[in-house]
Amino acid sequence: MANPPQPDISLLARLRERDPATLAATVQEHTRPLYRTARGLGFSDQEAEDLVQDVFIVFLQTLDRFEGRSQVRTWLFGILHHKMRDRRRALQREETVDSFEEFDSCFDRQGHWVTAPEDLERLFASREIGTALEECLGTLTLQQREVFLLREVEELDTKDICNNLQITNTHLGVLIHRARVRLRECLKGKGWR
Amino acid sequence: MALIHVMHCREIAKLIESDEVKELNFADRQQVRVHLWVCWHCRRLVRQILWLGQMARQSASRKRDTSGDLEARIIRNLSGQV
Repeated sequence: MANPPQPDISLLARLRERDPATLAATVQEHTRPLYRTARGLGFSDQEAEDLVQDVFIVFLQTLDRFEGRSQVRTWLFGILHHKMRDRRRALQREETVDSFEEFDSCFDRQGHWVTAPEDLERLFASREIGTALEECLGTLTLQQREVFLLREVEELDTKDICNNLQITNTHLGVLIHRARVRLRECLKGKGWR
Repeated sequence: MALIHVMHCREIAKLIESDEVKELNFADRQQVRVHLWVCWHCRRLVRQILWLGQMARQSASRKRDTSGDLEARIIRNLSGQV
C-alpha cells in the first residue's frame, strides 16, 4: 500500500517558527474548505466563521505539538471536528438504532437486486441536483453528514477521518454506507422518477 | 479443496457502499471485479456512488462562500498572537 504523502519538512519548520508568510498561506489555503464543512454541517454563516477563526487560534497554540505525522489539512479538520463537537454535543449522537431496512429492501432472499438501482444521473438535470442534494444531506444524521462531506467533498483519507473523529474503520464504513443509501433513497423520493 | 465463498449483489453492494472493497484480500477483490464485469446492476451502483460524490463536490463549490475577508481577519488575528 502506498504511504500517505508526508508534510513538507521545511513548511513544518516555518510554521513552528510562526513565520507570518507561511501562516498567512496556510490560512488562505484552508479557510474555505473548513468554512464549507462547518456550513455543510448546519452551522450558520456567523457560527462557521467563528469556528474557523477558533480553529486557527488552536492551530497556532498547538503547533509545537504537531509532529507532522499527518498533513496540516488533516490536523486542521481534526481541530474543527472538536470545536464543532464542543458547540453541538448532538454531533456525538450514536447510530445504533439506525437500521439497514432501506438497503435490505433492494435485495431478494438470495441477495440479488429486486429492481435495478435508479439511473440518478439521467433523473436529475445538473442544476436541480444542487438543491435536491442539499435537502437530502439535511436528512442525514450529523455524523453521517460529517463523514460524507469529509470523504466525498474534502476527499480526506479514510485513516485521517477515523483519527479525527475517533471512530474505527468499520464504524466509518457503516456511516458512509448509510449516508449513501439515505441520499440515494431521498433523491429517488424527490419525484424525479 | 477450500470452498470459495461466492458473493452476491447484496454483499458486493455493501462492500462498495462502505468503501470496504479496498480492505479485501486479492482473491475477494478479483471476485468483486469479475462480478462488476458481468452485473450491470452493481455497475450502475458504482456509477451512482461516483456521481453522487461528484455532484456533492460541484454543489459545494457553487455554494456561497465566506464573507470575503474572513481570511484577512484570521491573519490579522493570528499576527496579534504571534
